[in-house]
Amino acid sequence: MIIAHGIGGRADLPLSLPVLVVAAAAVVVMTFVALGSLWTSPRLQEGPRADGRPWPVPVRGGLATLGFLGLLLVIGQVVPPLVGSERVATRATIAPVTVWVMFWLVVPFAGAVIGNWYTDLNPWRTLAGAVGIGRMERVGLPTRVGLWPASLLFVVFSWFELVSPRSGDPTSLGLAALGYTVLLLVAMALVGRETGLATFDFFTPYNRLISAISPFGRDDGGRLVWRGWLRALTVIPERPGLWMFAVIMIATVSFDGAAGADWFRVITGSLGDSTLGRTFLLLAVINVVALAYYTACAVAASLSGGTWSAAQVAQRFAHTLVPIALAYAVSHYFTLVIFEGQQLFAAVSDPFGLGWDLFGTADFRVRFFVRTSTPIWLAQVTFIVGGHLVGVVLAHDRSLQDFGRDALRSQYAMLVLMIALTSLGLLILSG
Amino acid sequence: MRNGVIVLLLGITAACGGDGSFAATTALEPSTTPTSTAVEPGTASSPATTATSSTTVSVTSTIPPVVDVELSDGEVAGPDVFEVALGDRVDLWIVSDIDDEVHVHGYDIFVDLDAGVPFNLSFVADVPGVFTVEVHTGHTRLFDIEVAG
Repeated sequence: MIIAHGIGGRADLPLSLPVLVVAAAAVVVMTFVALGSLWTSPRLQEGPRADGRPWPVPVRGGLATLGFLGLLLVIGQVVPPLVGSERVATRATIAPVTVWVMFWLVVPFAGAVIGNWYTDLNPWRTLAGAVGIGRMERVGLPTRVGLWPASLLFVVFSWFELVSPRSGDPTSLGLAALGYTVLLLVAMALVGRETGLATFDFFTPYNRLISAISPFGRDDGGRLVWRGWLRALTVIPERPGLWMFAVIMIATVSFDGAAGADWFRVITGSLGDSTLGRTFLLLAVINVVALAYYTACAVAASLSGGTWSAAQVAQRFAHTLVPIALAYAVSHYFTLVIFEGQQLFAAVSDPFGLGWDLFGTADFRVRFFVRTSTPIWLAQVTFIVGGHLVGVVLAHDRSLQDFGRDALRSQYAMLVLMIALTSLGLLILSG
Repeated sequence: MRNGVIVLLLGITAACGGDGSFAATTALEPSTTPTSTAVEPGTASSPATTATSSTTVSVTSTIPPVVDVELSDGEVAGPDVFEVALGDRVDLWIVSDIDDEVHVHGYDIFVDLDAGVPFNLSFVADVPGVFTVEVHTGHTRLFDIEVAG
């Protein structure tokens, strides 16, 4: 049976029916209000407005050190078994909370507000800089490669987190981090540092996409700037595979949420019982979301009168999926962050689970400071409905830009898609 | 698929002919009220046996433990989810064919299981959510406890 993700073991209670009904009604009302009263000419499409101050150097250095330390602690998990040290069963190591909570959730969630701090945190950029790898491009990468390698690695990572029975095992995490590090170093040595990270380190596009929501950014000189909410998202480079990457962002969280829902267990039967079956289900969910998105794009393309192809529309609207993906992730994982994230306090005292107590916090237990479900439900619903609204706004603005006069008509397909995705999100939360 | 938790009201019994499997009685509570004394189930001859065995003749008021969840050969037999209301007591009997350790996630309760000896997992469910219970060996998931509230 399913143990969702490599950390925790606590899950939220399914939404109660009244909360669900109110949320669904809010979605429908908001959508129609948006349709009728939103602006009639594009307002978000001209990109960031730059004017700012430089990032303080100590902050950048501190972030780089922190990121690198995190990577070392995760890779370091391979050492205790090598030297024959026994782990204490009741102690969690620092690896799962670092990878599955901090690196995977806290970094991008915070990035959506404060801007892309992953650029500085990225341990592989720091490592490559320290050892002088990737200063030049030895092999030219064809443009059409785009985000496809990152998409593939993203799926593999999600599989490790959500399907593999070893996702909570520190040694496996250490080995995976070591393998990923070697892969990225080789890639950077061949195609150059920035191209290597943008193409193979899927955390790079993931954080770039999500932090494009943030009003803080950087200009060409690397200076911190106020650019306004969502403005970087509309000018995200449409690299090949962008739409698939955005689809995977939504689909992996959907899979994780659905795996804990009764209706999904009923539909999928015994498939959920084996690793192979769950692998199939993960790929199936990705394909279903991809098909739904691409179909909506094809309909929008045909409504536009043939000026755009389905593939072009898929790329042009990919960014509108990002707020929805973030909303899914935050609503599904924020309790994991605020509860299981506390494991970090204990884990810093005993990072390898060997019974140490470096800072006297090793016996810290998670405090469940939210003791009723209602506030959790309300927060979850607010995130999902808010993500829906932002997605609708972005799609509306992009429609005006690309379709002009036909905007309203060609938007219908996107609206249907977004209502479907939001309903799916609510359905998953309702268990 | 879902089962309500039957909260067994077990009378405190006289001390029984012990085989040392009293692990259930202590250290189960993460934060609140102490647990009630678990009842020594007796030395069952096989994991599935629910009848009181001859070594517990001195016990008069024991309700024979109906094993809720049985683990044998790495396979789990029992309901997938136990539902309990916030503040109620979880009271389950678990038996395994090997020595093992049970971990209730979230509540972070760790308890030892002796091979073939039914074990009473008992604690007050004072945190809402869905919590996975697994054994250490192979990280086998036994069931979820859904605490509604």
